[in-house]
Amino acid sequence: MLRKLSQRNAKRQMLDYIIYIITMIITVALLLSFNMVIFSEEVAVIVKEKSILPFLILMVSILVVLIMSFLVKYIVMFILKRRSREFGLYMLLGIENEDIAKLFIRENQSIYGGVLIVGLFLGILFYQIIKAVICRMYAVPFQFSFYVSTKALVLTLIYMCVILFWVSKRTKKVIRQLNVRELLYLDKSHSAVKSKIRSNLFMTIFPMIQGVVGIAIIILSAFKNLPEVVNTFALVLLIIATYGFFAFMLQYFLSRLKDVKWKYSNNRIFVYRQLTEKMRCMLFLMVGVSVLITLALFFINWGIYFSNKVDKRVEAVAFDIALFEDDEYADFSQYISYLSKKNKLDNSYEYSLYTDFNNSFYQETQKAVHGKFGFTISRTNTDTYMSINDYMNLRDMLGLPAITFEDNTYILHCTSENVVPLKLYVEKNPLLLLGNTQYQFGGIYCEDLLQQELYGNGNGVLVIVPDNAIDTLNFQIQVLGINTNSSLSLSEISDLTAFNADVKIISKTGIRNQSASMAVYTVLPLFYIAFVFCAIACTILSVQILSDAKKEFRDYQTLNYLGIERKQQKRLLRNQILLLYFLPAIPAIFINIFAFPMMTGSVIRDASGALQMFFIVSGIKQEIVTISLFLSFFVVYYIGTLFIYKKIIFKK
Amino acid sequence: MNTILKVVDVEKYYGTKSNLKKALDHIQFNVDAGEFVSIMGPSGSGKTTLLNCISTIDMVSDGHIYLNERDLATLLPKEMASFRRKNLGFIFQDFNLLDTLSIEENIALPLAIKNTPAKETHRIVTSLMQRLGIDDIATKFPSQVSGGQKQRCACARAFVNRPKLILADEPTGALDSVSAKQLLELLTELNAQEKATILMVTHDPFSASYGNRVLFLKDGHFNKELQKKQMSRNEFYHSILLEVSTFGGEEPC
Repeated sequence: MLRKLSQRNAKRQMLDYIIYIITMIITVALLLSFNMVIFSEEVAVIVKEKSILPFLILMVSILVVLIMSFLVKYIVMFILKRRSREFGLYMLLGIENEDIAKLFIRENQSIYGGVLIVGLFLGILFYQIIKAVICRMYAVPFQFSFYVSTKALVLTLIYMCVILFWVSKRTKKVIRQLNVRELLYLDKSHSAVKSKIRSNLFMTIFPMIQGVVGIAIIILSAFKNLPEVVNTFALVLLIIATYGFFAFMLQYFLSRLKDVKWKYSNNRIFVYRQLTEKMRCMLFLMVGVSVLITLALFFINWGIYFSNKVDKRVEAVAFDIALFEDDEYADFSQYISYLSKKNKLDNSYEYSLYTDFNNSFYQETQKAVHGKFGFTISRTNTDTYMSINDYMNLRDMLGLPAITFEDNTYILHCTSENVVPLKLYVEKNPLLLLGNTQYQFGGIYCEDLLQQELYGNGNGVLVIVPDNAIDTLNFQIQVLGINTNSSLSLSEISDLTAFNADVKIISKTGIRNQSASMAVYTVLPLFYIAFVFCAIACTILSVQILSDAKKEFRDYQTLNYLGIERKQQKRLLRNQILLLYFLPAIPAIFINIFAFPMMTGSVIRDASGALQMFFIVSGIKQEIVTISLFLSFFVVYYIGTLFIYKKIIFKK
Repeated sequence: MNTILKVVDVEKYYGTKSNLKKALDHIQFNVDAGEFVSIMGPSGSGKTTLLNCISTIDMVSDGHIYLNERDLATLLPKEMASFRRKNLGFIFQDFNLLDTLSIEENIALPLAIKNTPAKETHRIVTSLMQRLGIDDIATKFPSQVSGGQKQRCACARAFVNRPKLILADEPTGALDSVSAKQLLELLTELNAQEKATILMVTHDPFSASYGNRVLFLKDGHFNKELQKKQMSRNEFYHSILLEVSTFGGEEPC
């Protein structure tokens, strides 16, 4: 009898369970997809080295199970409150607490079953997205395959059972302790307990001042290389200022509501009174949600940043393979013949690099902030020179546009970050003295030319001089730059390495593999945590917003009597939920836009102190991707919440 | 006299064919402009059903209701809200004030919905609040005022639009006797001085005695009609009590 009753109830109460269902489906999908990364043979083939990735994913999964257990309990308690009168009635009719608890838990379990099926299916699909991210980082072609790992499946089910077991145990304990009176009035006690926060001017202005100080520090940090502790302090100030934002918005809306003209126009009075009332009750909760979104956005940003770094570093290598040997008379013929035999050789060019043992240009590059994750490793710290003939041939080989070069001039080729400091340097010191000849500055170029790795064409800067000037310089290293017609595998690179231990090899394949291995350990856990934080933020918001829906049902009925059309009522409701839902995202997005460039150190400044934020072009692109990813997640919950709210408010 | 409300042979059924319940049975009556009519009847007599039909919240099964010469049956669903907005004012037993709005804003709401200019809204609401003696609680919220004050606010909200007809559903049901008396006097005042047309549904003979005319509803049809005419309110009250005891229903207190 009770089993039938609970099944019928579960069906009837489906509406109450929508947020619970969405959250659980996302949890299952995330857990399974990341578990599949651990056990996937496809991923093991791509990420060849023994990695700490499985360990990291396991750790994050345990964290997810812990967080989700609390979150699920939070939603279950919300549903219990909504249905407390029904359970109270059962108790009045003589059903034991124990049986009511069983009924409620059984109901949850039957929903759990459906959730698992959908979540596991979505998890299998989501795994393909993760695989695509890994393939992209390793530049391996992605192939969709319907792969299911039994081990991952079992592990996910274990995780879900842990969540279900813990939540059921807690729920049972709560229901056991309730009496009829408590159950009958549980939904009322909720609103009575909820305290209203009265925000005052001090509590509004003080955090806002902290926010301004935080932003000021970040701007200052762009001019002066401030210590990390100061930057972290700025970030903390910004997060505290989140409270100020909500307190300020509340004060702002309340002050607008004093303006008769404003409040009595466009039906604002209803929407903004409802909004300010909710904000008063949910001020700290909104701050908490906003901080969660801030962290989620940071994690997504970091994930994309590290993922992009792989591509950027590989592109900067310029050649498919570059061979370096300290011997001026190095013989690279066996490498050429190996690649020819494999039909891989497209073209190659051999050249020498020189040095004058000075480091004037090199010193200038060190003044620029390359970014905390810029690759500035090099085995040399003196200026590197190349003849114009070799330079022209290399440009031709790499498909770069031809340039004009006048006698008695020198040109610089550097990484893009070094253009501004070097330009400023040559404005002050335009002449270059080599032997007895002075050379005029003839221009600066910054295309990718292998200048960021351990071996390369200078460390960040290369000086190109007329061929006859080379005689005054000392030999530094012999280089063979090779372009292949298809990318080489790691085993082919290792074949080449075996020819001569003295020859150092830098290849796009090697750099990608090395860089992707480093990135994948960080990118995947970051995305994992980001999605979990998004789910938590959305769930808390949805549950809180929905908790007052029943009360608002009466308000909308009154509006109906007063003659507001149903269409207009729906618009009012949409605006009200939209404001409540997206308000916490505003400070989070703002903090990310400001603080993220500072965190990555990707703000560069020139000698005149002018700001040159990388953020302006690539930063905006990345921020758009980050915000889109986050919003796509957020919109699912928003639509779900609005749907339930409408069903409650506009039920017949 | 100009007839505002004309109810012609109205029937209302609930339920299925096999289990049909007749809530209103051939109801017929008129309300003239400036009248204060009470409809009395015990619980389940069909008072609220009748009120819902007049207020366009519910549809009649048969018959016609004309409000200001417009047959409500001909109203399209999308016209109903606007019709209510322009022609009707409501006073409910449990006030139905919006808790998030101040007293002043609750009263202003019907005008704001009609897009009345803000300054005009403010002026009308302020003068009405002064008239009803609730201007001192203008900035307070419903949770901060007494039941009597809440119902005064509800009265002001119903009247602020100058509707053709004010429908009051047991307006004194949630009030103590002093507040109830004050509210009924206020309704009488609005009726006498502002020519507000009021149709009040109640089960309380004392409240009904404030009307000019009382219609007795029992089991879905009118049993009797009493006119106040030259009677004092007290005399009218006693004649209502007598009628109630004769026809059954609510026992006199």
